[in-house]
Amino acid sequence: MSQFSADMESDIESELIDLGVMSMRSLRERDGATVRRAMRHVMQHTEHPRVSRGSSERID
Amino acid sequence: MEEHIPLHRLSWADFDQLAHGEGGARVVRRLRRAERSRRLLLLRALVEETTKVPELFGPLPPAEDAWELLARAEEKVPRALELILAHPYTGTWAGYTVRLLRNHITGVFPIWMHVGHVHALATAAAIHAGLDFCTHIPVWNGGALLPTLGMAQLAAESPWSVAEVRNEHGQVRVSNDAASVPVPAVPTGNAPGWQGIRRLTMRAGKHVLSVHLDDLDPYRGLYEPVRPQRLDSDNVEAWYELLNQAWILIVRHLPDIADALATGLDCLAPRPAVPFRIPSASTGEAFGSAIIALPPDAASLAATLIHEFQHIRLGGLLHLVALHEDDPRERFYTPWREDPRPIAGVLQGVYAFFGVTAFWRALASAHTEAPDRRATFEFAYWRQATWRVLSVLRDDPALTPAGRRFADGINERLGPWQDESVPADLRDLVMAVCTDHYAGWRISYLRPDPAAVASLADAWLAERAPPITGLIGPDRAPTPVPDGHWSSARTDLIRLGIANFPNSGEVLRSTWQDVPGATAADFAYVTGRFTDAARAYRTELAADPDRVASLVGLGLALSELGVKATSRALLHYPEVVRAVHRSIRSRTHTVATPEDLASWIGQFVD
Repeated sequence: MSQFSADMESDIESELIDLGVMSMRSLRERDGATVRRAMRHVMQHTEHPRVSRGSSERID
Repeated sequence: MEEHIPLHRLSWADFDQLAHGEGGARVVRRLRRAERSRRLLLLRALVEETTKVPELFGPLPPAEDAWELLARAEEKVPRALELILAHPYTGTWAGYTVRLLRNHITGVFPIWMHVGHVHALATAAAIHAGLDFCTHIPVWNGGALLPTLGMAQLAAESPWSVAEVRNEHGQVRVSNDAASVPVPAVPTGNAPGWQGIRRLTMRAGKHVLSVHLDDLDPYRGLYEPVRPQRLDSDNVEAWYELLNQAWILIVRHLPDIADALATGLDCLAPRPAVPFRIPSASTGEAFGSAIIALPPDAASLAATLIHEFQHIRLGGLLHLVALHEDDPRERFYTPWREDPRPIAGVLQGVYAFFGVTAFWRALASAHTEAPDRRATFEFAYWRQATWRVLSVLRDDPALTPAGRRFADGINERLGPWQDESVPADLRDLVMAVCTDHYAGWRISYLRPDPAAVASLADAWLAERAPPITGLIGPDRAPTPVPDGHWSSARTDLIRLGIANFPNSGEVLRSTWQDVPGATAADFAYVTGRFTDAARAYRTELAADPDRVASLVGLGLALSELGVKATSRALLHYPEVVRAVHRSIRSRTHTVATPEDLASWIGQFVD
C-alpha cells in the first residue's frame, strides 16, 4: 500500500462517538439515539475483553 | 432533531503506519482520544444503569453524586478529569462492572463495592482538582484506594466497608470510625497510614518515560480485582534501575517506538519474578497498562515493554475497527504458547512479537564489531516464529478486509527481515528450538486418525510394511486439552548457553539443574553430546514411553546424529508414533521401543 493511495482513501469511520469536546454535564443530559447507540456499542464490546497473558510461556 | 456528534475516525495512512509498527506518538494520541470517549460512554452507561436501582450502591451515595463531583472537577481543573479518564484501570473497572451488571453476577466483592468504585474515581479527580468536598468510598480489607493517588490503611472489622473522604482547607483526610489518615500533599510516597502509588520517571536525552508503578489498584489485574501487593523500597529501586537501562536501549535503538511508548504507557503493574520466565500480560480494557514481572536484565525488560505496548496499540485500534470475525475456535499453532490459539490471540501475538523482533533486530545490528549473540539469536528466532504464524494468518478467512490489510502491512516489514544474515550456528539453534516446540505441540494437541493408528498397529504386529496409501492424512483440528506434560527446558538451556557465551559449557554444567524440567538428557543435548543425549532419552522412554519431552528430545538428538528416518517420524509426526506405540502396548506384551516404531514409520513419511 503506497502512501499516496492510502492518503486518497476516505478515513476509517468507527462506531465510537467522539466526546472530545463534550463536558461531563453535557454528556449526562444527552439522551438521543446517537448516545444510546454508542453506549450499547461499547457495552457490547465489554463482553469479550481481549486479554493476553502467560505464566509458563511468553504470551500472545 | 438530535445534534450531530462526530464519530472517531482513523486515516488509512495511520492504519498502515500502525501495521508497520510505526506512527509514533501522533497515532497513539489518536487512539488515546478514542479510549477516552469509550470510557466516558461506559461511565455514563454505568451511572445510568445504577441510578435506576439505588440499592445497588448499598451504604454509598448514589451514582449521580459521583458524576456531579467529576463534573465539578472538570469545570475547575479539566486535567483532573483527564487524569482519571486516562487511568488504565478506569477502563478495566468499567468493563468488569458493566459485565457484572449485564450478566447479573456479583463478582469478587458485593456489587455495591464494584459500582461504588465510581466514587473513588470521582474523589481522586476532586483531589487532583483541589476541590473542597466530602464523600464516601468503598474500602477493601481496610484499604481505601484513591485511583492514581494511593491507599489509606484504616482499621476495619468487615472486609467490605466505607470510608469518608473530605477535603477542607487543602487537607484531604480519609476516615472511618476507627482512624483518620491524612493524604500527603505529595501523595506518591509513603506516610503514616498512607501508601502512595509511585511514579517512576526515566530520561534518555530528550526522551522521557514516566509511569506509575501501581501495586495497589484492585483493577490492575486481568479478570478480577486483585489484592494490593506492595513492593518494598529495594524492589522499587530495582524496577527503577532496570527501567532506566531498558528505556535507554529503546530510545537508542528504536526512537520512533520510544516516543509512541512514552505516549501510550501509563502504568506498570508489577508481578512476582519467575526464574527463566518473564510473565507479562495486558488487557484491551486497560489501554496504557502492562502487567510485568521484573525480568533479569534490561534487554529483556525492553523487549517486554515493547511487546506489551504492541498489545496496547492493537487493543486501541481494535476499538475503532474490526480486524477479524468473532471466532473463538482454538485452531492455530503459535510458537509462543503451548496451547492452540483463536484468531484474536494469534493476531495479537503476531503484532506483539513483530515488535519484539524489531527490537532484537535493532539491538543485534548495533553491535557490528563484537556481535551480540543473544540479540542475534532472539532476532532470528522471533522473525521466524512470527513469520511462520503470520503466513498462516494472512490466508485465514476470518480476517476482515481491514485485518488482511493489517497483516499484509506487518508482512511488508517482517518479510525482508527473513533474508538478513545470521551466523550459521545460531541459525541452526533457531531451527532446533522451532522444531522442538512444534513437535511438542503436535504430540500434545493433535490426535491422529484412530483408523490410521489401528491400521499402522495392525501392520506392525503382522510384521508387514505399513499401509502406504493414506498412511497419515492431513492434520485434524487441534484439541484444547493437552495429552501429556510439556517442558521447554531445552529451549531455556539453549538460551542460557547463548547468554553466557563463550563460557556456555561451564555455566550450563553448574546451573542446568536449576532449569525447570531439565534432565541429564537435555543437558547432554544442548552441550552437543548427542550420543549421550540419545542414550539418556532412551532411558527416560524406557521408564515412560509417552513422555513428550523425551520423544521429541530423542528425535532431535538422532537428527543431529544423522539417523534420518527415525528422527523424521519423531519430529514430524510424533503424535502418530506415540499413538501407534500405545495401541501396540495395549495389544501385546512384546513391546517395541518408540524408537523402533519411529524408524519403521519414518521410512514412509516425509
